[in-house]
Amino acid sequence: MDYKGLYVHIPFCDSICSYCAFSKVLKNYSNVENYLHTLEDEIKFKNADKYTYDSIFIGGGTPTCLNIDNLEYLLQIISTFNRTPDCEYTIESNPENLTFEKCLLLKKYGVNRVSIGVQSFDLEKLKFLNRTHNFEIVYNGVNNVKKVGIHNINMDFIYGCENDSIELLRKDIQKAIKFDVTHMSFYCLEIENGTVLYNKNCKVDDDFAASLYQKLLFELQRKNFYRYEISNFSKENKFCSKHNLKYWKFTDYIGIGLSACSFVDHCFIENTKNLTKYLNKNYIAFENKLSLDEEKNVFLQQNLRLEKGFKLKTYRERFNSDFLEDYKDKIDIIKNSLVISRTEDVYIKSSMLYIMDNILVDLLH
Amino acid sequence: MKKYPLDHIRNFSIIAHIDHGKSTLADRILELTGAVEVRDLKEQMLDDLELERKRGITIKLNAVSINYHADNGEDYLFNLIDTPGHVDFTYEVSRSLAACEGALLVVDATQGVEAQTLANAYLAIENDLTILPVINKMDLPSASLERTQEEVFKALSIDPDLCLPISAKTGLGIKKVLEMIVKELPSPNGDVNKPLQALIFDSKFDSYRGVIVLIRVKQGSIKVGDKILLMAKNKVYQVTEVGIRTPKEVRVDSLDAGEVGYIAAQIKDIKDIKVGDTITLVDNKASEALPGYRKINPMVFSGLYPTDNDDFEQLRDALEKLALNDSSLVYEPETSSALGSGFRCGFLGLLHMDVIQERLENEYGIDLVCTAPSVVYELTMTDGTFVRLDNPTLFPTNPAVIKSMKEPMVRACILTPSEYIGSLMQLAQDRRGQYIDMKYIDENRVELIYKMPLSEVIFSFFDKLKSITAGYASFDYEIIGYEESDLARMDIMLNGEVVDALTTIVFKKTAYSRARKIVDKLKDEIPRQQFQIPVQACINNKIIARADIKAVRKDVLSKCYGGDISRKKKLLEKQKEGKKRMKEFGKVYVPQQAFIAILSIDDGD
Ligand SMILES: Nc1nc2c(ncn2[C@@H]2O[C@H](COP(=O)(O)OP(=O)(O)OP(=O)(O)O)[C@@H](O)[C@H]2O)c(=O)[nH]1
Ligand SMILES: C[S@@+](CC[C@H](N)C(=O)[O-])C[C@H]1O[C@@H](n2cnc3c(N)ncnc32)[C@H](O)[C@@H]1O
Ligand code: SF4
Ligand SMILES: [Mg+2]
Repeated sequence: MDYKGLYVHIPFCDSICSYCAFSKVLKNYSNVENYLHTLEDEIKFKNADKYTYDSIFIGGGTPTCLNIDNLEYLLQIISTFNRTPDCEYTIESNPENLTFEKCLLLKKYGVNRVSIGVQSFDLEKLKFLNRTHNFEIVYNGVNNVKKVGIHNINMDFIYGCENDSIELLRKDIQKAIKFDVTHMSFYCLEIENGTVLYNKNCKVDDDFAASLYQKLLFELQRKNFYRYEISNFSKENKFCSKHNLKYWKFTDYIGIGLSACSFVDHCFIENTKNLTKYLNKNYIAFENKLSLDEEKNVFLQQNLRLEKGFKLKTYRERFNSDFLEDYKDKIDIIKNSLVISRTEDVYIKSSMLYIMDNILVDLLH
Repeated sequence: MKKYPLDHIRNFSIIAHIDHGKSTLADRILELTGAVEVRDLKEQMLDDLELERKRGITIKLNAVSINYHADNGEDYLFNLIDTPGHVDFTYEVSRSLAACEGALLVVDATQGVEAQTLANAYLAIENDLTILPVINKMDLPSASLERTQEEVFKALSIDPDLCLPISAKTGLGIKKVLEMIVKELPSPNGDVNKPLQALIFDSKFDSYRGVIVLIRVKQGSIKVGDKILLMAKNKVYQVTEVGIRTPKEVRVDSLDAGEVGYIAAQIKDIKDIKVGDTITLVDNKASEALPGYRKINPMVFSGLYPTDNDDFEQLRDALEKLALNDSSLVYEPETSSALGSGFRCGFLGLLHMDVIQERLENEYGIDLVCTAPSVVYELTMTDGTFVRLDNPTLFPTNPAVIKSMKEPMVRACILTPSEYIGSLMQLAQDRRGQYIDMKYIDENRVELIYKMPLSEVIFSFFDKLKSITAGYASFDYEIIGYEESDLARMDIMLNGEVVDALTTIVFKKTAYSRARKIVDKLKDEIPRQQFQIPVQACINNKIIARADIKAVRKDVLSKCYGGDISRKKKLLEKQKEGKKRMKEFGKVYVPQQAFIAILSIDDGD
């Protein structure tokens, strides 16, 4: 049976971080109920409830910043979907929202994984990023999550800020480990158009980022967190994000809500990023049926982000052709960067994963 | 189309410094005479090349014939030619003037007399043309009629009262200009009964009708069916069409002495048509050809190579078509070990080069890599042979075989508000200029004359001059000959291999600082690759500067935005597109900008 992933986007936040270019608006000035009703309509419009899901991801924005009633309403909407017994059900959160009451609610509706946007525990850095929490708030939040019985916990971190050092990052890692998280994501700060940092003309030096990353890898490995994707580390295999793996393996997922993306039946759909349009039920901004060649390219673009890449067999079964044949000329050009193992795994050399785009440019058609 | 008696015809060009409003004035004339319906009017209507419209400048002459119903109740035929103002295209102006008896000299009332105002006015005077000055942009608050009139008077001894104040934008004074054209400009003369002499002053290619040839009939007459002889090329054709451009093409029975128009004769071999050539009749030959045009020599040479070597023939074809109405463009096949097969092309200046490159890319769809431009050097070898060198890679690697070296010099004339004299003198000196003279045009405008090496003025000098003077200075130059100089060949190595396309000839005294700047610039322009790349400059096999392009360490989007695969997909496609446009040297990819970047290197700072 072919299960799919579900992504639901909730674009509201209590405050706006200096680096963030995701689709989001300040909750205070918004009509959350209206948005939730529109979500319901979009679900019908897209027939999103006809599938069975083995992963659900509520992301944002900050879904946990909704008030209790709205949050429950949202969870109710999602509870109508069919899901497998072992379905991974994640919600993204900001630490300050993780009250005991809300956590109970999450548990009640079957959420079994919580992703917390920590970014750092360093107060100076948090201020630079315009985040409003501190260590204590994270501490209380995590406690509540665990108290209700959710133990699969991820923390998001950002590296590459001006005053970052490996010492600072090491401290962040140590604290996360004290909380006994199962998963960590380390994202390099991207300066995105339209953000405060962009307007302040902040820059992240690539060499600086790369050297921090190098040290991070070492540090995390020492703590038995293993990299399975460029920016993602898990404690054991089973804690890899099942939902995100759908993106990286490029298998079907349905996205609902502002700016959400879907990939079903070889068709890539991008929802509008314009809230007014969205509320007017103009959901789709862009839709593209991928040709076979395009899909092969995207398959590689996504799969090669993974430490383990993909299996020749997977490729063969999916496309009815052989990777080694399809990309014959190209593979030769990048033979120093690409590994094709005896077990028929295809992946980018570990030391070169951080320059993978450079390699993809030569590989893709 | 009715016939006009000779004394009801006026042939004139519009000339001026760049951007003083020639093309806009032409618009108003077309509009006011009703040549173009108001609804069809576009700004700078005659600038029909895509590139002219995009850049807002005229790069080639444009001829049009219009009927003017004058105040005296009679109809006149105006043959008007709009010309470019930029110094690189002075040649187009001379071609236009040869077809005319008069010239409208446009002077911008906010800028006053500038370098090409003078240069083009002198050209008109040399050609015995009557000049009708107009002071344009009078609608602008900073316009000054008196000051401009005075400058025109001082520089050209033209009576201030003859200078009409106009605005090509609002239409102010245009009617008066039209009347003045009738009253003040001479009508053409020429005997219709004498054997045909028609000057070819422009041409373009039409795939159905062959070459369309623009002519000015000096004497005699030409009509459909005539057997014509192209005198320089000694080719015979039969005329299939005769007409005038209004600007739409309108057929006429004949073109007679004094008239301007076009002919077609199923001329498929574009090389047969040479601008400046004379057309006569096979059966009634003129005894001699018209003087034609002074041959002008290209000053700047650069190698043009198709990014994709399969496009070589296509490039040849395109160059042939462009050269058809641009006789200043010369080209010859050459090969580079780095770039493959291409052409060494000669241009009048950097803008001309730019324009040709852009037209090749946009109008003919050919992706190009262009090598650093160079002037023509003259070398005498110890064995007595003499070489004119338009390609730096031909400069001997062993300097011992060279007896003497010469480089082209120009007389540069800079017109500037006096407050900038100091900084301009510094600039000229930095560019190896020798002071010749300084004249005050009035209390606050000065003409500076310098002798300078051409190689120093063609690269970035103009930009520098503009930035020093907040755009107020203007500049013109003419070649005055060759002078002894101390030069050296500088090679650039990427990853240990010489890239011939980056070889330049440098003045020895400034070679070190130049080398430093070039390697640094290349380091910044060449994208980092998976390994470290040394960039070295060497003279006589000695490395005089080095910079290293570090290996790339990060090239990845760290965060995947939800399931948004298209952001990354587009990014990769763009990167791939960029890489396709680069040239591969050994394993090093070099983008086109790197070749151009060398140009912007400035010895001054
Ligand atoms: N305000 C004002 N602007 C004018 C007038 N005449 C021309 N312009 C503007 O000046 C600029 C240059 O005008 P063009 O007609 O393209 O100048 P040109 O002399 O043909 O320029 P080249 O062909 O490049 O030498 C344009 O932006 C025109 O709109 C005028 O009378 N008044
Ligand atoms: C878009 S947020 C949504 C979840 C929640 N509101 C939060 O802030 O964690 C998800 C994560 O994306 C990462 N992120 C967002 N913008 C980023 C940027 N410009 N550079 C690096 N990471 C970024 C942060 O680590 C953040 O935790
Ligand atoms: S990072 Fe999270 S909390 Fe901050 S603005 Fe973005 S979505 Fe909102
Ligand atoms: Mg013009």
